[in-house]
Amino acid sequence: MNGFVTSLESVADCAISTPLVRVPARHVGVIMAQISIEKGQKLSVRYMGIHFAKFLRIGGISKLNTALPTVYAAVYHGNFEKFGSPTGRPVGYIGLDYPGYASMDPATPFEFRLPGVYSFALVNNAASNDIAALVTGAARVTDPR
Amino acid sequence: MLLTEQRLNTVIDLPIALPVTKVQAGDWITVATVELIAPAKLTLSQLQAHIVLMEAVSASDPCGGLGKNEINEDFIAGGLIAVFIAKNAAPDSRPDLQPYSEAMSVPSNFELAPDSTAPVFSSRAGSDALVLAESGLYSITVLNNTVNRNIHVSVNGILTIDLDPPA
Repeated sequence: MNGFVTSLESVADCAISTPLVRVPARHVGVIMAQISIEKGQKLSVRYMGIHFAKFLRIGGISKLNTALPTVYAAVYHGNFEKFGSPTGRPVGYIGLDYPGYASMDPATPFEFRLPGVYSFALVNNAASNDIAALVTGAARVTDPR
Repeated sequence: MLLTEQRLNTVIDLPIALPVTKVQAGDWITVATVELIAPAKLTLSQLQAHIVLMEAVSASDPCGGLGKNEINEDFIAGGLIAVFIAKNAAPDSRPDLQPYSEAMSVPSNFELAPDSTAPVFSSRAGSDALVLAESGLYSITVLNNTVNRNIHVSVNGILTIDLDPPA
């Protein structure tokens, strides 16, 4: 952790972002990025912020999955057959129940070493209310070899 | 000067990325939002916008030829489009009325040739970088500053956040 960097070729930063978009209700998601890592590589997400601008309809804000925020930016691991329905629990997420801004603490990044495909999605967990939101972030893949 | 892994991990490049998107006359879209908490610093090292296509709102007022691009006089920004870096702005409120740190715009007299695209323009690059140090929520917003043109525009750039800048 405190060693010197000898080569930047082993470090790749990947964009995780979407401009302000409308996300329909009922767990519809916008896939922002998909990153594959191999054995020995590390994926770290040090910064990801979600700006939940507003609800687009007047009405209730009941959630489909009460364990998760109304709107969230999440990391999923594994095969991603489709993203039009709930797909289980993400391996990391940040989110809000009401319009506002939330970001992760860069001091405690999401770090993943298990090989496979990681998918980053902006998800609307509201049962009947479309939303407008945007996400800005970046992920770093480090290859120690 | 040697670079440590710890130092490298405190500097994060964040994307400003809007694929080509149709922005209606007088409308705007927020592209990125970053929260800055002192003593961190935010550097806008590169920002570009590219008008790919302009469409007339009315068929009787064509782009090019005799058609004239009309700027919305209500907006304080000049040019066909403007890109704002606003502080603590709400995404659905008029971007030109927010306290902003920087704005750049395409000249209002720019005419789009029927068989070409507009030039890329960039007001910030390299040593001309904009450095922000005050805590706040910074948003990048692109505004269609016309009243009679729908504009297809792309915006891209890099915001670098330095979580632990040298004293």
